[in-house]
Amino acid sequence: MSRDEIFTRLNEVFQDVFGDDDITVTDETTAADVEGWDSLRHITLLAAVEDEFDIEFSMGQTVKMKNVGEMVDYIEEEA
Amino acid sequence: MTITSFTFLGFVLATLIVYRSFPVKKQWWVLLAASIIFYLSFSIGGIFVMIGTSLLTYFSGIMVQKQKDKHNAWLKENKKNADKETRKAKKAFYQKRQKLIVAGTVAVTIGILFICKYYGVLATRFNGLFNTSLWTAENILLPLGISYYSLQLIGYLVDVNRDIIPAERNPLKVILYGGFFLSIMQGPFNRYNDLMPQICAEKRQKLTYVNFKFAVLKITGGYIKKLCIADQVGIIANEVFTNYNNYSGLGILLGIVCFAIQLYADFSGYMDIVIGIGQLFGINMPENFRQPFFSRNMSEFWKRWHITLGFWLQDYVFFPLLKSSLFKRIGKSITGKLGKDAGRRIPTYIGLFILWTLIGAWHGAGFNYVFGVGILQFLYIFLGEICDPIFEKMKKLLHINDKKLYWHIFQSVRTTALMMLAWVFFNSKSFMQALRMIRNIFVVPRLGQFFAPFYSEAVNGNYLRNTIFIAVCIVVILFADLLHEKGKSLRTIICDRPYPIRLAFYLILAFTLIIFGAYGNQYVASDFIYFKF
Repeated sequence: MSRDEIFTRLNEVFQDVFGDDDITVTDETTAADVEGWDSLRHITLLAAVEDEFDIEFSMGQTVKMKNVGEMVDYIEEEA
Repeated sequence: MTITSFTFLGFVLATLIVYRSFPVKKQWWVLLAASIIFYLSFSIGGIFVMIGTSLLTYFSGIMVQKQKDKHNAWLKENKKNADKETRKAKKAFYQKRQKLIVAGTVAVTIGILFICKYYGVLATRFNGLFNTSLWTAENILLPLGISYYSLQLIGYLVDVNRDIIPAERNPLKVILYGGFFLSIMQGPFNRYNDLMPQICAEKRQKLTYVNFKFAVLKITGGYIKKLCIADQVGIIANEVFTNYNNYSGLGILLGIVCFAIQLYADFSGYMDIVIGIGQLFGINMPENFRQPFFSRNMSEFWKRWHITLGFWLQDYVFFPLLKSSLFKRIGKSITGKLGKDAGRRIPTYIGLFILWTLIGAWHGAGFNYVFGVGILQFLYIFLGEICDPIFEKMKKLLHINDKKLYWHIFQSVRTTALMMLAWVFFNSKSFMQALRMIRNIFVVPRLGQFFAPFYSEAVNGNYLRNTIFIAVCIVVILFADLLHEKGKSLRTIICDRPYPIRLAFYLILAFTLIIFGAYGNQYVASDFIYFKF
């Protein structure tokens, strides 16, 4: 799966989880850039990404990921 | 050796001189020795529990690492031959072993914490309930800092298991991590991979005049918060909370406001002192407070108050809970019945409820803790979440611009008021006392009652001095926090001024401590509030 394809699908997941059709994420996007991406929504978001790409984030990755770029790296590796 | 004593200052100075005269690679030995001496000054028995728990964590870390190494060796050998299913099965096999080691160690650590911290309370409750004296708990030891080092050590082991850090090979370093004298009493909660690389660094920045000045200013600010504000305002707060039946209406409110100032000045003052001392040693510890009274809502408040505890609970309790297979099953089941949105929200709220109940219980076994800093906090956040659409509609209806300053001020005052209500439970001796105090607020709410606590014997009737003093405390705290909120540091502003202005400021700081500080032979500085947790 290409990185562009991952971003297209990932944008849809973000838009669905945060209820905002205008969200577009990039490699540098962090929780601070997306309204509502707090610790309450973090696991919900990761669960939705896991379902979309049929992967599983370990607890290490859950707490370590610094931005969307790192999330995409992992998806690229696993999916 | 409390940190408000001259003995402690002498101890820090002696440790600093020895530390800085040692080769950098060996400096951690000095900190280990200092931590042990510091611990022994409080408790001889407790140190065995602390070292025992650290060693247990150390050995568990090594065992977890061995499982990882075995798995990696297998992968290296069989990467090409083994199919995906075999690789998955092997991974699950090693992970199961790792989980068993971690779970066993966590159970023992929490078990020791539970026995030391709650056994006495449970025994008293049991005896009171059945009017008996069968259950004795007089000789139960409460090791210094057990609530802090237990959680830190659990964090270390979990991080080894999560591949965030490799297991430490030197047991003494794990003991130092658990018993580090600057964070053992009240935090901050340090992460192993943040703290230990700094302590065990091979190169260290020299203690320059500028660094020294910055650190000393931070420490002095901390002592002013503790000795001049917290301990002084605390006299009125203690009077109202102890003799709450003598006060009503605004008098009770004054006591609650004083306690809020006391708690913040006490806890953040302690943090400033230890973080400042850490900087003298070339060690940066994380800030635990970030202008909490500017929070717009309760979720934000907890990102600004006791920050390191919040992150610890998020990473080691809340996230694992929500990612557990049980919670996933609950989510799927709810999604099937009530839809996707409910399936996402309800498990989060259940996790949040468990998390807050644990936070309440961590503070103490009394229901006033479980409710005030547990269930009530959950209710604030939960109700804030589910009522958010209603609030949004109301804002539109009332043409409220939430970007305006007046709205921010309203939100901050509302959040602070809600927290003060919670702190009534936190600082009361029992749940019932808190309810009685809250009831008393609504009894005889006359303006004159507001000043009643100032006339009490506890404050020697010096009401004019006290009124001015509390007003000044609020202004000073809010001013310093406002500067930080705007991204400015009071320390930098002071250090950038010309020498005569700097000198004048240092003299003001020194005289503030000498004149307004509560200290001396006749005075024993009250314990830091969070010390008991």
